[in-house]
Amino acid sequence: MSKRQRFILRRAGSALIIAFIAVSFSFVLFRALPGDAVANLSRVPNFTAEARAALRAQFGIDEPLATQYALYLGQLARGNLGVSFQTQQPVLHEVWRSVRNTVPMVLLGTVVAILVGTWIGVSAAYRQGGARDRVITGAAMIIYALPVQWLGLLLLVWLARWLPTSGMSDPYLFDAGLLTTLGDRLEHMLLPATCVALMLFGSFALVVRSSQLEALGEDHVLTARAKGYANRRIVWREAFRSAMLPLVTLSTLTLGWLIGGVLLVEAVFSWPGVGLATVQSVGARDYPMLQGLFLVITISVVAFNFLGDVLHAALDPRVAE
Amino acid sequence: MSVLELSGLHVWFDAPDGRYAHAVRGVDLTVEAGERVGVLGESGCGKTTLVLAAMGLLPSFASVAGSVRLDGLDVLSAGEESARQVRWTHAAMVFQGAMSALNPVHRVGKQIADPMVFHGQRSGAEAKKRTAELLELVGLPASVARRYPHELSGGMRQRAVIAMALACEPKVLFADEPTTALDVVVQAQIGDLLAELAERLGLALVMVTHDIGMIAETAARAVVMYAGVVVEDGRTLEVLTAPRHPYTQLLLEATPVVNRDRPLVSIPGTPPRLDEALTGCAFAARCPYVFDACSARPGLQGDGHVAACHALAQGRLS
Amino acid sequence: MKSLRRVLRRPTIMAGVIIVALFTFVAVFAPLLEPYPIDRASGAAFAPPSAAHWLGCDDAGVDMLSLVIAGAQNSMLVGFAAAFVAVLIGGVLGIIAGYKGSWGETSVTGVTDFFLVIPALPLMIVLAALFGQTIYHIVLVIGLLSWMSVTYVVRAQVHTLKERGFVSRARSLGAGDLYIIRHHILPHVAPLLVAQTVLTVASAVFFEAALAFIGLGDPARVSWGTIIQNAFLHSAVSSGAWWAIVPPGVCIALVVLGSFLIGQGVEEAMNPRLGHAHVAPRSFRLRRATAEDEA
Repeated sequence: MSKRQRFILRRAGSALIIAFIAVSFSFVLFRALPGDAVANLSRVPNFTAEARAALRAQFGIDEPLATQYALYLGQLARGNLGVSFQTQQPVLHEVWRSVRNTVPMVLLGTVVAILVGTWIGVSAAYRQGGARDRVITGAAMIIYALPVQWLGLLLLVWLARWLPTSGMSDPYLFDAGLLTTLGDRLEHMLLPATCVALMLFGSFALVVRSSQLEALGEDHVLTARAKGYANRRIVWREAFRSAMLPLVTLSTLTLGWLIGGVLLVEAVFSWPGVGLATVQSVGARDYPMLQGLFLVITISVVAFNFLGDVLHAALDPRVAE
Repeated sequence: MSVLELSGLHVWFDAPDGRYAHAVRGVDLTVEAGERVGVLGESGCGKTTLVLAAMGLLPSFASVAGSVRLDGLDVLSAGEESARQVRWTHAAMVFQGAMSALNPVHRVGKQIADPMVFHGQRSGAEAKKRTAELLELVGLPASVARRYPHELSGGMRQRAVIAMALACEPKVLFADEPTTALDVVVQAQIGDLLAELAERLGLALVMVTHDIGMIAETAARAVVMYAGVVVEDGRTLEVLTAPRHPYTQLLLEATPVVNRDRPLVSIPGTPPRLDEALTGCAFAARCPYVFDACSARPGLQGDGHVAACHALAQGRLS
Repeated sequence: MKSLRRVLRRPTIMAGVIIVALFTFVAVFAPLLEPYPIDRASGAAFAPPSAAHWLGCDDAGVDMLSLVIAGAQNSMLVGFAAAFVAVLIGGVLGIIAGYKGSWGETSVTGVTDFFLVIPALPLMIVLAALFGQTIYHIVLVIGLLSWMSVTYVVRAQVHTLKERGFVSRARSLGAGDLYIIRHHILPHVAPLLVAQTVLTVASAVFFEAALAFIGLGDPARVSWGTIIQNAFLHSAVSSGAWWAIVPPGVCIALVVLGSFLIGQGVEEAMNPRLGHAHVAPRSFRLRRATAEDEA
């Protein structure tokens, strides 16, 4: 087994450990809370005595904490995350639906942010010190500093005329063909995805600029110039090729974080994804839902962190030496 | 036609506070085909800048005056586009610290082969073949082509860099401190390799170093630089055994000899600051033979073996 | 501290310091600076900016400028308090991790890595929903989830200090751990802590605004976050009343920007970038040598 493979295996191991700790932390957070979850629930109207008893049995609330923990792990292994208080549907199902809604929107925004950020960062680094560099970098920093919910609100104010401003699809669209449905979805996705892109591109641009500046000062870039290569080739094939590593890592980590981090954007645009579900579940004190969402969000961070490690090992031949 | 011709070369660097550092202050140098020249001097004397200027590789905060003719083309005034065409094909360079001259994320073979394809000299397949030949020429196994730079030792990397420099069959090879970052045994090997390659391929070699021993072994001609000017230029044997410029004399005296019991000598004072205007002989402040004529800049005088010194010209040297 | 003064002199840092200082000043003297009372209407609902009301009025006719100034006090208060908590925790943990080495470092790093994995905002929301929404709860919740980057930065600095021999030299002279920490480590870590505090203030201000937007801000106080939330809830968007939305966001952005300038400036001061780019749009310049140059 090569050094690189061993490195990846070690990272996988540590990811699994962290995931397990996160799962346990989730348990502690939602079960061992002040205030009986079931008692809190009893404030929900139409809560019958049988339902209360069933819930107590399912969660094992009267049992010692250790038993509850064992029960919890067992249920988790079987994919049983409980039932949502709000919809009476299995949490796993509801959470999966939310994730399916969040991912495409977030992916679109992130890809745009990566492309724009890369272009800005490389341009700024190439023209370092010049007026254009200062303006571009300054603009990126300013937009990065703007609070994302505020950005979303402003997008709403400006673009409400041309683009749908809430929800994921037109509720009156029935029996439409695939193309129309996709088009409608895309239309609804544009504003929240733009908001995500605006939220992210600043940090990508700054990271790319910084690592590109470093790469441009390295000896192999001077060698490339001595070989007679044109500037454009040097900037992209020589410098950016080694500078892009931090960007790849950052993008991967950002994607993992975004599953939960897109909360404010989804709140502004009423996008029915993980973030909005979290907000709604908090309001309704829907603990099973919250627990499921929390787990998904945390696991996605761990998973993408691990993916970042793998990509890093794949792209940088020096890793693990 | 000579392979390299520098005339009236001046290089200034912008300093952040609006001043300039005058790093090269009027250098004329001609190198013929196949000639092996060692450029000797202490840190900051301008020798690296000289060599960078020779390939037109100065940064954007530099300004130049004079001309650098590579294969007849004035690389400085012809513009970056034209300069690119002679780079690597007519003149190539082995940089200081080969560790970082190679791109860490590309394989070694690719880095050697790419310039050949880029300059239209060979196709991809031909370039690959030639890469294998070049590796053999510098004493490396063909498997090195598939490796990444960090997988090679320092000496191997330096050899790979030399092979890379020879890829487009240049007529002149610049080597800037080619052995400084290596251990002593490898130093000798690389020095021998450079000399042997220059001989075999009919290359002109311009080697910049502060290692006198290296020059003695590989270069037939020695050029001594101080504070941005050439102070002595002649056959290596003569320059090292019968130096004519006071600086060279003192420099050689200051070189420690291992098996002789002699107190360590150093040249008093420090080299002049390059961001301050300097008139007259650059070495005047530290020279034991300084007299009133030295307030004017001396030109290179003599025949064959020249030196820039008024005291020498007026027979005042002991 | 000579190094601190030298660091402060750079223009980027100066700009950042001015911005943050300005907002701190406004926050401290807020009640004296508000032109109108904020507990009652002084203009028409959603009145646009005018000579009387520079930033217009919100949905209840309350003067926006006064709201923003009042909001500054609570937002900056949460910012500084939470940052204090975070930097205290992070600084202590960072010093332990850097100084102790082996098990101290591994355990601290493990805990830090774990907290970094937990999604901050969702967790803050859950904790705020569960434990309460007063300003004290919010400060604690934000502070408890913001110390991780401080720990890493401080740990790295302590490592560097150890490498530079301060610690082993002092120890060989018989100094105890606490003495070494107080006299050798803290002075060098202090500028970093200051920069980290400022950065954390900005992130705390952001989190406060995020929590407020979800409805988990302190209902008894006005902050920039609650102003934005209010605008959202009361259809400022559809009314086109941008003045009810823009000012608090701009303030948050300025505080974040100011702190970012400080943080970046300090980082550049402590780790200056050497070397220059080898490729640039412009090439070197041509000149003629003058007689002076040939002298």
